[in-house]
Amino acid sequence: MEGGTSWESYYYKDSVHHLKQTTEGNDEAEYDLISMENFLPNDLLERILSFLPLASIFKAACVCKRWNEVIHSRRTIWANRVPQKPWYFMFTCNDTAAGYAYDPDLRKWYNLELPCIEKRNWFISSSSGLVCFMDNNTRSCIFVCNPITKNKRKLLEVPGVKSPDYSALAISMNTESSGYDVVVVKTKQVPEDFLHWELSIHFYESQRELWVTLATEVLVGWRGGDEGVICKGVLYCLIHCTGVVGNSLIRQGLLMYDLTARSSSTLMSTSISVPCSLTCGRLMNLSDKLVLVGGIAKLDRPDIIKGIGIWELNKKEWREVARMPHKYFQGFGEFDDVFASSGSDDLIYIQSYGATALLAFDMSRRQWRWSQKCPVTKRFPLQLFTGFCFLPRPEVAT
Amino acid sequence: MASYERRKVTLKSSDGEEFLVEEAVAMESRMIRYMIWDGLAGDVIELPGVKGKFLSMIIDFCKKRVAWAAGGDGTLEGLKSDFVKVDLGTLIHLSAASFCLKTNDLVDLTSQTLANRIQGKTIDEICRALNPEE
Repeated sequence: MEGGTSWESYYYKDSVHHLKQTTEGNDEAEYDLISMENFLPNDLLERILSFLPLASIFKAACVCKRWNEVIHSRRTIWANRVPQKPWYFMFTCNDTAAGYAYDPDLRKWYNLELPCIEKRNWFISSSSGLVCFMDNNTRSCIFVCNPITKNKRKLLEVPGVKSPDYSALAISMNTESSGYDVVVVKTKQVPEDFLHWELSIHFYESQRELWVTLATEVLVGWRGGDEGVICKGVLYCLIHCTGVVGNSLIRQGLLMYDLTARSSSTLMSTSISVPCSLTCGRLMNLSDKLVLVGGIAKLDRPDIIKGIGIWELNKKEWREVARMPHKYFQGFGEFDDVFASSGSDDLIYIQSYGATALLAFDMSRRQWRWSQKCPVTKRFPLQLFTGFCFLPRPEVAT
Repeated sequence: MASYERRKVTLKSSDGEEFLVEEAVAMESRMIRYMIWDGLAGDVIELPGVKGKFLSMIIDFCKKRVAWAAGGDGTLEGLKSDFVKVDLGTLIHLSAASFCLKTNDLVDLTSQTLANRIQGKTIDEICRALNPEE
């Protein structure tokens, strides 16, 4: 990868977001007074930088200390911008959390270093510019951060069972309080009982900085999973059938729990079915609508999918929005039943675990489009890729 | 025709260069305009923040713009694009000078142009451009 031909190529070097010194020799040398850019007063510099596209602004922050200070301290650089489309972060290394972020506006990949997360198997949820990470091992480390500005906050440990079998993580920006809500749903099998699973819902309000356990219920014949999202104050989780049943039964369901109303009726009584048996069902909040993406399982062979569907929930009824056209399906090459899909605002990203190809579906235009080719290619057969979607919102803080 | 359009004023740069211009042209600069309206300007207006070389270029643009507004040839876009056909260093100075003089549309023009130029460069290139070897 040749360096030095464009701003973007800077991101292919190892280090990002460190201040680059311009004078040779002394590392601590401040900007010398003969520098021409000193003729620009801060207000003017801010004006100039405010014309830069978002991605360039972070590169501009690396030019010198003064530019860095102006960029990070001046809110007007972020104000009045056309809101950026959601980015997609793809993990490209099996062991670490290294990866690249895709910007669909400029159609470019950036080597972005995520704060807080140590391994890519951590639980991830994002909402309105904030991303929540929870470690997969102990589930005791939970952070909320802005992946662009690296602003971060560690939350108190989640209450509830110590080693749940399944955990779902969901974060939601609370526009009224300008804080955020985090929900962790824990599922633990009742010992030696395949049919009974205990599910608990734990809720965190950033304003109060406290966890509250909202509900605990033992589900019969169903269990919680790792997929949950908050949409307009309601928590939605996918549940999975654990009983041994015939192939005609739909094997997943949707729990709906109103986080404000906190009704005492059982979780199962308000649950609904999903449109069909799915593999890799993913829930996402797209402009305050609940959307489900999943592989449509073949009836007789639930591990093989015959397509990928997108559904929207409208007053407890599912409405099919789109199906991935066959040519895109084929474009992924071998398509396992396992794929990653994540979305925000009006965009859904879908990628196969086995490749770096990334497909985007624009909900408002109903259009499918491949992303620009990822700079990382698969190097060995067992290499897996996954990722998540987030909104680049540098003005948002934890 | 109002009397101020005929009056001339001398603008003096930080390095002592003097430019005799029509008041209408000088008033393209909001800073000078307010000075004149508030009665704070004499026959010679000193501009310690602007060097002669760049003041001359800005005055030239303002003259052409006033002429164009009065029904001259050419387009405003053409005038603007000619103004910014300069190297990066000069552009920075022009931007700073426009900012000082409060010729707002020149500030916007030079800022946008600078942003466009920055966008295409690597960090190394921009640092080198901002720190020329003396």
